[in-house]
Amino acid sequence: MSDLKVKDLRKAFGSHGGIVAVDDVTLEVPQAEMLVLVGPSGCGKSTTLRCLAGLENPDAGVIEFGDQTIFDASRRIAVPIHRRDIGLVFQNYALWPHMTGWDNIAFPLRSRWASREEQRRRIAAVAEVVDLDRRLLDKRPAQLSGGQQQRVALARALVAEPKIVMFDEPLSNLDAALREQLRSEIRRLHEEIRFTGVYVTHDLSEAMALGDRVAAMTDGTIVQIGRPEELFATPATSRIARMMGYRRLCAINRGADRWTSTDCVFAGPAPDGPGPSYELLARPDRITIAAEGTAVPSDHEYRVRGGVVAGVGYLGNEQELIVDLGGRHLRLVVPLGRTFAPGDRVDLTARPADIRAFPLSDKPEHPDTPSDQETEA
Amino acid sequence: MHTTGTVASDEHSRTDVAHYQPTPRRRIGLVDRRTAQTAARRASALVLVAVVALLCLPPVYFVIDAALSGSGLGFRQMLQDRTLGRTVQITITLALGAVVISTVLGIVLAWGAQGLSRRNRWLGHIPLIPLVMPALAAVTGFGYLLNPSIGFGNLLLRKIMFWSGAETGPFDVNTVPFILIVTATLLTSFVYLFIRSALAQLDQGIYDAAAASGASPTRAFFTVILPMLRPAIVYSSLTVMLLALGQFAVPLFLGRQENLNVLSTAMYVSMSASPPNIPLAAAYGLPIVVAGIVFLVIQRVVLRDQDRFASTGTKGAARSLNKSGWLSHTALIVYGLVAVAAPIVSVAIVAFQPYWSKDIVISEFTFDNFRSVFANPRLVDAIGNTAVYSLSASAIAVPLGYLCAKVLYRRRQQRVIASIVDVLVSMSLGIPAVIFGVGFLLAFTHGPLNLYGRGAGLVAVYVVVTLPFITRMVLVGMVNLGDNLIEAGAACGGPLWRRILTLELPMLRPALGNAIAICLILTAQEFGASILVRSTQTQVMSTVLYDQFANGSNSQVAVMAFLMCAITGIGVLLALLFGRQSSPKES
Ligand SMILES: Nc1ncnc2c1ncn2[C@@H]1O[C@H](COP(=O)(O)OP(=O)(O)OP(=O)(O)O)[C@@H](O)[C@H]1O
Ligand SMILES: [Mg+2]
Repeated sequence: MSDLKVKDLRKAFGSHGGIVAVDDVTLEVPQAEMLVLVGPSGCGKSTTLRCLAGLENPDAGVIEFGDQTIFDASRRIAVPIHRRDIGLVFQNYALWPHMTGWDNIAFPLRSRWASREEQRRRIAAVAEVVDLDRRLLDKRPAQLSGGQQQRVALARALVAEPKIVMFDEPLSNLDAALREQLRSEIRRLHEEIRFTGVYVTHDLSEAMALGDRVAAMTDGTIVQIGRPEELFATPATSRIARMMGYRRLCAINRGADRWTSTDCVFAGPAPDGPGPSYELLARPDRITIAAEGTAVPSDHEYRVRGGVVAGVGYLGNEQELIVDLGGRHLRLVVPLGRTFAPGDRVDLTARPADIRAFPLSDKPEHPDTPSDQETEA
Repeated sequence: MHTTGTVASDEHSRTDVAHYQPTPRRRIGLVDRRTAQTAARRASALVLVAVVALLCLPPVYFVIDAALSGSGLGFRQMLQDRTLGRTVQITITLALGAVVISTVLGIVLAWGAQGLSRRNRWLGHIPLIPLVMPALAAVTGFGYLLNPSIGFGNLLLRKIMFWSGAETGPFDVNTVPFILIVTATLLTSFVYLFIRSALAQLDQGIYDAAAASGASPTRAFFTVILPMLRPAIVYSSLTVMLLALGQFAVPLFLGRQENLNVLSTAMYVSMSASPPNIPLAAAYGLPIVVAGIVFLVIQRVVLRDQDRFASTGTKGAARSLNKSGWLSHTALIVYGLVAVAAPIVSVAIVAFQPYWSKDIVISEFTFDNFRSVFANPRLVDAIGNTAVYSLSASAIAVPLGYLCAKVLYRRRQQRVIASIVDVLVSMSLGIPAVIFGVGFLLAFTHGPLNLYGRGAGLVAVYVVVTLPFITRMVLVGMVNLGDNLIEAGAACGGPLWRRILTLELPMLRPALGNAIAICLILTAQEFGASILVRSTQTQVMSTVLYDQFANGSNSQVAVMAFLMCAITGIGVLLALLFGRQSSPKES
């Protein structure tokens, strides 16, 4: 186990390096910490991880495991993957189908010339930790369920106590229930063994649950890095805010004497900052919905008028509303009790503490940006 | 068809439940219609089985019959032959040696090709060239290259080793080791083909996981990649063994001079004696037939055991991470130079030289040999015949192969018929063409249908010989296409023929195009069967080439070989162009 340092890592693909997958990534992961890389599809998470593992050759940058330089483009150092002493967990498990579970787990030990006795001891220990029954180890991967296969893969990555353990979306091939179960087990594993880990996912809840710290990536760069609560409470950019589940309430422009909005009727305190226009985001669970013009609690200083209920869905103990805000659809989950019907005119209100304002730039938004038209869960 | 059927029957079952009043008459009507369709389908499949069986079975029957008739006369003669021991020994050497050499070489080349950088990816096609390169051109080319006294390769080597002062050698192509080396070099392509496609089925993660676990590239290759390739290796070694056992052209061209025989050439020799010694020829052929059938059975068993090797992950070509790979580049280039470029260049030099000599003077290169070939009506006729037979065989074999593939694809609905088609089709894969040649000759002269001396005979042989390849290619095309696209068409209704014409055939166009190309290429260079079935009126290019070779007219042989290469090359180019235009998926 050791800490991990990455400096100015860069990797481009394509004939002339046209696609920059990783763009000057700098990271530090202290020993025994689990860092989660999270970001939308195609933002370069896997490529970053593959560079760390040695599966990809970066174009520039430095990677250090502890005090050992693993990669340094300028000094032409590139330790090959099999000498990096890592554990790697793949999305598709990548178990060897011609070997039993036992042989799969024993493989890293055999590659390190461990004695038979040590193999037996370590495999027994790791099987216990990942909660794998001894009898399952005699089966081949094809005879194991998806969850059991992933446990074998976890055991294989951990058994040799590597310096760094890396995970590339290890849970996304599993169904929802199993995913949650294994997620908490990985958390428990990490607390038990305190390995240094880098975990890649696009699933926000996974990132929040597993990361000691979370690094949010977009377009090949790390935009924000911090404890999950920090990212959640103070997202650095509107894209990260969107990843954290914030949705656009409205966009406002600085007028001659007051703020105006193009897409809604807006009332509330102006954001402090010099920019000419801002967008205001809030988490849907912090938005209150009120019939048009009715009174709301006094601390709900933000009020956006002109919403129209476009759809109502019943979710059991809650209800789901799709509200049309000047052409954009906002999905809100509200308590039962008040009944809404499509066509109802409503106002959306929020406390200032729940509103995040981000300067709007002139250039068009990146196509990858999660849209506000999000109507699914 | 099934739209109305199923909907109606659903309707009925609902009424049944509601009123407890079955309507048996109309029900029977529905059932009848369905059985009628199944019956029609089964009948047409049976007709297909009959046609394929009539093509494939009589030759084999006549060979076995001739070998066993006369209370083992042929076998008695064979056992009296004093060269029998040597012949058997060479045959076994060739079979086992070729398996070892081509398997190792094929695996090395295939794994090397996986690591090629994007820019050098084309190098990976080199080992496939011998699959389409005319075998006769290759073998005559090796003759020109490694002839002990004036072979171009030997001249070059002697120049390099000037101190030895030797006048001949160092290599002699007319020996068992070189028969083996040439055979193995050519058969390496098959191993390469199978291993490449097996590697493409592997998940890259399989290799990455081994590397991440601390295994060096060598260790990862031997502990993970090689075991995962085991089914493909077993399959391709069996195929190579089969092909080496039935190998005919190489031992015939390189072995006749020193009277080195394998079973297949011994069979040919007895068959071409005058009068032909049919029982003896059949006795030589029988072991090959039996071995072929045994290997086919083994192959089936091996394939059945493949589940264990099914990878659990997503598919993606597994490749080494070691991209510098000068070793793999060198291996591929050397293979290309030795197995492809050297023989073809030798053929070309001899074709353009006034006569085969060790002095290569480019200024003296001439078209005289080509002129004399085109002035010889026998040779011109042979070229024309080749074109006609080849096209006719493709016109029959491709539709037949398509139908066989269809039966095999719908295996679940017609288990028994599919199994029969499977056996019949793969039989002509397991039994070498030269045996089919003898069999057809016997069938034509003994049987009710006398096709001897007619083009139809050659066309029939070609159809049998190419059928397994075509069926396989079309079947792979169908499997890749999947059920959904065809079912989506079926759901739209309309007559079957229209769905086939407007949906299935256009979507299968790449596979069918390749099948046609392979059929044309294989038949245009077919030698093993042609040499037996041909008559003086039905010569083809390969048989004329052999006659010229037997007469020692080297320049004419070179010209014919050169022409065969050129025709094949043009065919391959056309197929590639056609294939590229018609497969929008590959961009
Ligand atoms: N081998 C490659 N060749 C070319 N481009 C690549 C290659 N691997 C990745 N890319 C490109 O690099 C970018 C980043 O890819 P990467 O796989 O790192 O994304 P990701 O964040 O892991 O996405 P996902 O969540 O979908 O797995 C993408 O635009 C991708 O198309
Ligand atoms: Mg990824």
